[in-house]
This record gives sequence, C-alpha cells and structure tokens, in this order.
Amino acid sequence: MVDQERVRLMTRLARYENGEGVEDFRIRKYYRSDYTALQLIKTWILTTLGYGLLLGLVIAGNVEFLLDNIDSMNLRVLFSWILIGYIVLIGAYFAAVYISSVIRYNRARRNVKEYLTALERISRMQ
Amino acid sequence: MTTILEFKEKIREVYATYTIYVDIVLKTALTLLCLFWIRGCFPGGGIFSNVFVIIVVSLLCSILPLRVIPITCGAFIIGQAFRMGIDAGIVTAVILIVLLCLFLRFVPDDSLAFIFMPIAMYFGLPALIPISYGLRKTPASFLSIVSGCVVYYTLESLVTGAEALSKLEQTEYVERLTVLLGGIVSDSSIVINILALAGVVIIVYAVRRLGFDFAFEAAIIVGAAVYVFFIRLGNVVVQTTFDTVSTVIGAVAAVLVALILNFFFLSLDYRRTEKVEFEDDEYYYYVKAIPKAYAYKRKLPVYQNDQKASEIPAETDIPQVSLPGVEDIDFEKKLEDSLRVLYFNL
Repeated sequence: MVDQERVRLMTRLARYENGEGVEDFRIRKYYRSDYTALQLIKTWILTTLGYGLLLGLVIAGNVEFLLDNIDSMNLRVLFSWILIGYIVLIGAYFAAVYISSVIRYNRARRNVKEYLTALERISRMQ
Repeated sequence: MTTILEFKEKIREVYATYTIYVDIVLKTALTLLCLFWIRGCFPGGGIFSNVFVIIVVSLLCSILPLRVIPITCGAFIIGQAFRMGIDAGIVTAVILIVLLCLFLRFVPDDSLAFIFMPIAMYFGLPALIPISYGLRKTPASFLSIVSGCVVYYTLESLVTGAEALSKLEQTEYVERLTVLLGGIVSDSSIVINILALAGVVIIVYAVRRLGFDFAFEAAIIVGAAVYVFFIRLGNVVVQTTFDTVSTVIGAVAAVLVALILNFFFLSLDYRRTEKVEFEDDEYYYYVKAIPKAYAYKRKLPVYQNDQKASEIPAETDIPQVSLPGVEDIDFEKKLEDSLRVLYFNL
C-alpha cells in the first residue's frame, strides 16, 4: 500500500533537491567564514576587473581631450581620485557582499537542516 | 469583470495542463522577439541577422534555462557590433563585461531585465520594466534594469554613429573611439535615466509593501509619476533634452500595461479582506488576509420557460434507497433508549 504522506514528503524533498537545494548544498560544503571569504575574493577580482575596464572606457571616450591636455594636468591628483574611487567602490561592494553572503549562508543552513529533519521523518515512516 | 476573471482562470487552467509546452512556446517567442529587435537595430546582413540562425537559436533557447536568453542576446549584440568594426565590437564587449562584473552577477535571476529594458525604452515605455520589477521583485533588481538602460544607450550610440564610423578609416582609432564612446560618456541623460529608473523600482517596492487597500495599483501610479518627475527634474537641473509630452504619454501607457499585467499576475479582492488578531506564548499577531479574486462558475440546470415541472429531468433528485425492514424501525424510541442508557451510566 502506498503511503500518501510519505510520497508527498518525498516529492517535496525531491523538488527541493533539484531546485533551491542545489545552491544550498553547495554553500553548506563550506564553513561560514570560508564561504564569506570566497565571496569577498571573487568580488575583489571581478570588481577590480570591472573598475579597470570602466576606467579604460572613460579614458578611451575622452582620449582626444586627454592627449591635448595631458601636459597641463596634475597627474598626482588625477591618480589620487582614481584610487579613491576604487577604494570607495571596493568598500561598498565588500559591505554588500559580506552582508548578503552571511544572510545566504544562514538561509542555506536552515533549509538544509529542515531537509535533513524531513529525511529522518521519512526513514522513521518505513 | 467576471468575464475577464473567467478568462484568467481559463488561461491558468490551460497553463496548468500544458505547462511544458506553453513554457517552450513562450521562451521561443521571447527569444524571437529579442533577437528580431536586435536585428532591427542593426541594418544590413550578416550571420546574426540571418532569420534561419535566429529561429534555430530561439528553438535552442526554448529548452534551456531562462537565464540563457539574455546571454544569447548579449552575444548577438556583440556579434552585430563586430560587423561595424573591430573597435566597435571590442567596446561593446567591454561594456557588457563591465555590466556583468559590477551589476548583473548579483542578480542572475533578474537578468531578463537586461534585454527587456532596452526593448521597453525603444518602444517609449521605459517606466514599465522598473514598475513591474518593483511589484514582483526586490529593490536589488534595479541593478539589472540599470544594465539594460546602459545597453540601450550603447546600442543607440552604435546605431547613430554607424554612418560616421563608415566614413572613418579603420586606423583612425582616436576619432572612432570618440564617435563610439563620446555619446555615452558625455551624455548626462543616461545618468538621469539611471537615477529615475532606480528611484522607480525602490519607490514602487516601498509603496506596494505599505499594505493598504489597492497598494499595488497605487504603487504603479506613484512609480510612473516618480519617473516623470525625475525626467522633468533632469531637464531643469542638468539641461537634458527629454521630450516631456512623450515621457508623460509613455508613463501613462506603462501604467495601463502594468495594471493589466498586475491583474493577470495578482488580482486581489479587497472587499473580502479579513483582519485577525491572536496570540501565542511569544507574540501577539495582527494578520490581514486579502483573498485573491477568482471567478466561481456555478453549474445550475437550465430550464426552458415553457417547460413544466413534471418535464424537468430528475437529475437533481435525491436517490431513493430502500433497505428491507427499515420502515418497521422506531428511530425515536431507539434514541430515547440510548439516551437513557447513557444517563444512567454517567
């Protein structure tokens, strides 16, 4: 005889495993500090790349103006502003990514815990 | 109203029955729309304008996850840009990589706005996408909306600069770069549009969460008004050249489309709102439950006016069950006996 309650629970778990669970299991492989650190490193690399390319685009868009006025420019001030912009951008991204990764890790831990509890319930049903 | 609700129910029923097929058809149609729009932006031939290629790619996208559609569109945009020149292709690719690194990677689920936004802006409905995302998603989706806005201006710069680029030699790098990027870097209207779109997403999200009656509808109208306000402010403060009349018409059209979309995705029946208060050991709860609007079809028998009662088919009659010896039982006496036994036992 098919236990309807058990089938219902197993279907729910299977849906979780194939959906949201994929990301949750991946996150739960790490300790929280490791996961957060990994996200911050990824953010640092990609933000630096993005900022560098953005800077390149701005320079390329104003290349004519820069070539004409480069002698009269205070390059030290210019580089200081570029550096300040980079630090502000990285700081903002680090803060946002740190908060979001902690929230995501906690949610994944809670979901996986519920998943394991449901698994235990299924095994007791046998 | 009931007819529209019934129509909505019908659509829901059809979708529930044929989910797999409907998803495939919708994804194909969506990809076709996006790729044909890109094709229309870049006049001329080439493999990325080939109808057969577009159809094959659309069919492929129909069986792949939804996230693949914006990636495909990005690849087509870069491909079309490379046809205009290597520098145009590289600049477009770099812009898309910057958007990916700084914005899109944080909101992979909302990445469709990356291609919906330029299409909506092309048709003069820029407020529609931020309003829709504000209603259904979180404020973080403004990242993908902003990316879509940048893509629109990049395409506009490529299209308007196409003639100037064709006159310049391939070796005139400085002039070509100025044509390609000058429009984007020095144009303050892009900044105003980005601020307006981000403002609309955040305000629509905030208003619809306030929880008063018709909050969703109010959020749509407030979002459109905020967009028009930001654009007018830009015209006054930084002298951008947005046409106020077309902006207002676009905002009104966006409101109408958003109201229709909202009706199909979430129509609530505020007349049947219930407010419940209860408590447990730790909290006191105030719950406001608003039921969704449904069209309940009542299946009543239909009779002709001149039909006599005796001619009405007896389909609603209660079936007569006859058990042997049931007529002889005195149920009243039996009940009295049972109550008496119960009384003395207690």
